[in-house]
Amino acid sequence: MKAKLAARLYLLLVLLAAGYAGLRWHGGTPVETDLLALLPVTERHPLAQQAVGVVSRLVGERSVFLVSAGEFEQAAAAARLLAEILGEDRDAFSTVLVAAPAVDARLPLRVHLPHRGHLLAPEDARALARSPQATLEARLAERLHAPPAVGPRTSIEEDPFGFLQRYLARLPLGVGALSVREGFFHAQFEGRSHILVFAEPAGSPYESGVQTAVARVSVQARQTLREQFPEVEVQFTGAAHHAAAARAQAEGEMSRIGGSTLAGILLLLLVVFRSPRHLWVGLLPIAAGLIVATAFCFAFYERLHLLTLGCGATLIGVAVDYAMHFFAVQLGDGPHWQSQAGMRRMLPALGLGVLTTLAGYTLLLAMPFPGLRQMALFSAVGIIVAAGAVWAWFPLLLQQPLRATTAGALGLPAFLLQVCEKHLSARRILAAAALSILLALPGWRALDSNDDIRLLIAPVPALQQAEARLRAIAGWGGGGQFYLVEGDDPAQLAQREQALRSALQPLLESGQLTAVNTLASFVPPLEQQRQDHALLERVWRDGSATRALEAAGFTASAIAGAYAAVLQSAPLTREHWLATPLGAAQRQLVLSEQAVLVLPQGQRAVAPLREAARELSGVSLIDQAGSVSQLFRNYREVTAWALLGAFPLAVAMLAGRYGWRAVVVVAPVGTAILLTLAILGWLGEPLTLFHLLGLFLVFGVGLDYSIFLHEDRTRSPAVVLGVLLAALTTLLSFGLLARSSMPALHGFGLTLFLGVLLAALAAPAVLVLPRSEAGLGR
Amino acid sequence: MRTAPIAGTGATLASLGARARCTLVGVGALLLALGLGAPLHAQDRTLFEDIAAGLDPAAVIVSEFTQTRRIAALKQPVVSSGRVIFARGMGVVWQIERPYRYAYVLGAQGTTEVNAAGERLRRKASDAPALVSVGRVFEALLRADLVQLREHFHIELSGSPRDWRAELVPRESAMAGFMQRLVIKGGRQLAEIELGESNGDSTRIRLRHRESGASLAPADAALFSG
Repeated sequence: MKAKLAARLYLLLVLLAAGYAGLRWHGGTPVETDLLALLPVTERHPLAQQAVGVVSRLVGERSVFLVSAGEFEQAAAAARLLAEILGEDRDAFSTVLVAAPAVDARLPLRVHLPHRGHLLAPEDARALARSPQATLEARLAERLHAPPAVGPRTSIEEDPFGFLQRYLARLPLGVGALSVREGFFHAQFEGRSHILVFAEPAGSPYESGVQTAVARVSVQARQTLREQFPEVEVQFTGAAHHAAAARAQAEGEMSRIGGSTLAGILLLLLVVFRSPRHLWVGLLPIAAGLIVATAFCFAFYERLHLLTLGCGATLIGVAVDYAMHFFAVQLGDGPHWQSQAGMRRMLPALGLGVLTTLAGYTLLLAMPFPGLRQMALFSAVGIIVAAGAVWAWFPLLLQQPLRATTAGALGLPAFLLQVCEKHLSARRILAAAALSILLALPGWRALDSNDDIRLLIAPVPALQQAEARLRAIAGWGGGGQFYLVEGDDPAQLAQREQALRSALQPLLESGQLTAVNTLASFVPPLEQQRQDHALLERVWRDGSATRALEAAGFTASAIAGAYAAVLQSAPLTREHWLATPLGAAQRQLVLSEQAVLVLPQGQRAVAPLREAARELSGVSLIDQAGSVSQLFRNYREVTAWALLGAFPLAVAMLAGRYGWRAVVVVAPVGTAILLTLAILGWLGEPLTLFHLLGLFLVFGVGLDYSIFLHEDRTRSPAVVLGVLLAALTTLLSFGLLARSSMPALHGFGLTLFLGVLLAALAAPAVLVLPRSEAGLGR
Repeated sequence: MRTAPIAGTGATLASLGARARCTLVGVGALLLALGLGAPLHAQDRTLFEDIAAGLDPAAVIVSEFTQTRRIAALKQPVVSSGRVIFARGMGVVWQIERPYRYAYVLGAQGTTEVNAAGERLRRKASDAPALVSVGRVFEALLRADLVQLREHFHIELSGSPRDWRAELVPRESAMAGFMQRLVIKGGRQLAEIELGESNGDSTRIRLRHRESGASLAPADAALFSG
C-alpha cells in the first residue's frame, strides 16, 4: 500500500511539473537564442558591463544587406527593389535605410567654422610657434597657387591661410572605403559595385517572431532579386539572422537527436523484451525526467538555452538506462520474478549509479557559465527523476514475469560472460591495460587545446561569407574589443583619451587598425585649443597676418572679416560637438563625465591593442571574447584537476561498500578516460572545456557499468544485458550529439561517445574480483 | 543580459552604426579605388569611345600650365604657371615655376611637397587620407582619363575627338556640395580645366602639351622617389 501511495504521489509531482512547464511553454517558445546569455556576466567593474551594453547596441541589432553587381546602376536598381520588399514586411523590419539621407556636404565646415580660431593641425601649430611669418606666407602661397582640390574645402574668404581646411583634412570623417554615391552607401571593390542596405528589426532580434519574419523576408527578397536581376548578388547578415540560424540549427538537432534516440530505444526494447508493455513503461522515466527537468529549468530561468535543448535531447538516452537495468533483471529472473524483491536487490546499484552520474553534473553546476549550469540542472534533475520513476512505478507496473520466449535475449550476454570468465585474468587485464596505455602515448602527445569562444557558435557559412565580404569592402569589424577610458574629471578624461589616441596612431599607420572611433579625434583637449588660439591671435595682433594678406592682394573687408573670425572664435567643447549633427553619432561613446568609450576598428589581433594601452593609466581594454576564452581556459584546467581528484574521491565513496576492491571498480573507467584522451589526440581534436566536461560525465556513467557488474556477484547474464542495453542507448544519443554543428556540443558528444564505449568495453574487468553470495541476479 | 553575438561572429560589424553615420557626412573626398566604368547614354557612347581612343597613350606626358584663379576676397586674379607631369601608375607632379618654385608630387602613398631649395615635405596618407583620393581624381582629370572619371562623374560630352568638351557632374554627394561646374576640354591631350565653386570663386587651368614619352626624365623621376 505504501508503494502505491508513493507511486501516486510521484505521478502527482510529474503531472504538476507538466502543468507548470506547459503553461510556461504556451506563451511562445521560451528558447534563448542569444549566445552571450550562456556566458558569465563580465567580471570586474560595473562600468565595463554598461560599456558592453552600449557597444552591443552600437554594433547593432540591425541587419545589413550587401547588393553587389558589375555596374553601379544595376546594383542601385536592385538595392531599391530590395528596400521596397524589406520595407513592406512590418513584422520583420521597422525601418529600412537604403539611401543616405541628403546631408549637406558643407555641414562639417559649418560645424567647425565658429571654432576656426581654436583648431589647428598639429604640424601647423608647430610651424606657427617656430616661425610665424614664414608659415603664414607658405600657407597663403599654397592656398592661392596649389593645384585645385577636387574635394571639399573651405573658401579662401572663410579660411585665408587654409588652417581650418588642413585641420578638417585630418579628421577621420567618412574616410574609408564607403562613400555616398547618388544617395546610396556604395563601395567599389574588386571591380564590382557594392551597395549597402541597412534594416532595423521590428523588435529584439532575439524574439522568435522577429527572427522568423526577418529570415523569411530576407530569403524572399533575395529570391525576387535573383529573378529580376540575375547578375546581382545579395548577401546579408546581422544579429537576427545569426539568432534565427542558431535556433533553427538547435531545434533541428534536438528533434534529430531526440527522435533517433527514441526510435533506437523503442527498437531495442521491442527486439529484446518483445513486450508492448515494456515499450510504454520504458518511456515513462524518460517522459517524467524530461518534464520535471524542463519545469525545474523554467523555475530558475526565463528561457531554455540552445545548449540545454541540444544536450537535453541526450537525456533520453541516459534516463532510459535505469529502466534497462530493471528490465534486464526482470528478464534474468524468468518465472521467479517478484517485482518488489527485484527492486530491493537493484536499489544499491541504482542509488550508487545515480550518485556517480550526478557527481559529473554537479561539477557543471559549479561552473560560472549560466548556460552550462542550466544544462547541468536539466540533466541532473532529469536523471534523478528518471531513476525515481523506475523506483516508484516499475515494481507496480511490471509485476508479471516476462514470457519465457524472451529468455533468448540472454544468449549473447551469457556467451560474453562465459568468454570473460574463461579468458579474463588479472594478469591479462593488466597486460591489456599496459599495452593500450603504450599505444595511447603518441595520442596524448598529439593533444592540443582550444579555448576559442566560437566553440559556442555553430558556423553558418553564408553569414560568415557576408561578414568577410563586408570586412574586406568596408573595413568594418574587428575582434569586438574596445577601450574604456576613465578620469577623475572631464579634463583628465580628455587627456587620457588623447593619450590613448596617440598610442593607437602607430597601429593606424601600419594598417593594423582601419579607424578609431573616439571623441578625441574630433575634439582636441581644451588646453591645446587655448594654445592654438593664442598662436593665431598673436599673428593677427602683431599685424603679420594682415601684412601677408595685404601683400597677396586681399581686400580690406576680407582681411577684417578673417581677423574678426579669429577673435570671435570659441573653443570646441565636447558638449558642443556632441550637440552638433556630426557629433550625434558619438553620443553613445560617453558613459558619464568620468568615462568614455574608444572603439578601435578593423583589428585582427588583440595583443597590439593590449600592448598599446598597457602603460596608460585609466585605460582598460574590454575584451569580452577574450575574457570568455580566458574563463574557458581556467575552467578547462580546473576541470582537468577535478577529474584527477574524482578518482580518489570515488574510491573513498565506494570503499565503504567494497573495501579495497573499490580501486578495481574505478580502474576500468580510468583506463577508458585515458584512452579517450589518446583517441582525441589521434583524431586531431583540440581539447576544450567541453571535452573535459564530457570526460567528467564519462566518469560518472562509466562507473555505473562497473558498479552494476560488480554488484552482480552471481554473474547473471541479465545484469550484463542491462549494462549492454544502457551503454547502447547512451552511445546512440551521444553519438548523435557528436554530429552537432555547435563545436561545444560536438566535443561533448564525441568525448562521451568514445568514453562510454571504452568504459563499457573495460567494465568486464571487474569480473576478476572474487564472487560473493549477495547480488543483483539470482 | 541581452547583447548581440560576439566577436568574430555576428559582431564583426563592430560599430557599424556609428561608422555609417560618419560616412553619411562624408567630409573626405570619399573616392574609391577606381574600377570599371558605368554605362553611358547611348548617343555619347561613340564619341566617348572615339575620344578615349584618340587620347595620347604615352606613359609620361609633360605639359605647361597656366592657372588663373578668380577669388572674391582678392582684388586681382591670381596667376601661376609651371609644368605638370603625368606618369602612368606613379602619379602627378604639379611643378609651379612662377611666381615661385614649388612642387606637389601626388603619389599613391600620399603627397610630397618640394620647395625651391629641394627640401621635401611628406604628408603620409594616414595624416590626411582625403588627399590621396583627391590626388587620384585629379590625376584622372589631368590625363582626361574618361574611363576613370566616369566612376566619379556623370559625363556629358560634346564636340569631336579632335576638339571635345566634357561637362562633369559629381556622383558623390560629398564632392557635389563644393562644385558648381567642372568642365574639361581637349583633343589628343587635355587643354583646359574650368572649375566653378559654389561660393563663386573659379579656377581656370590652361595646358599646353610639351612632350610625351615612355619614361620620365631622370630629374623628374627623382621627384617621385624618396
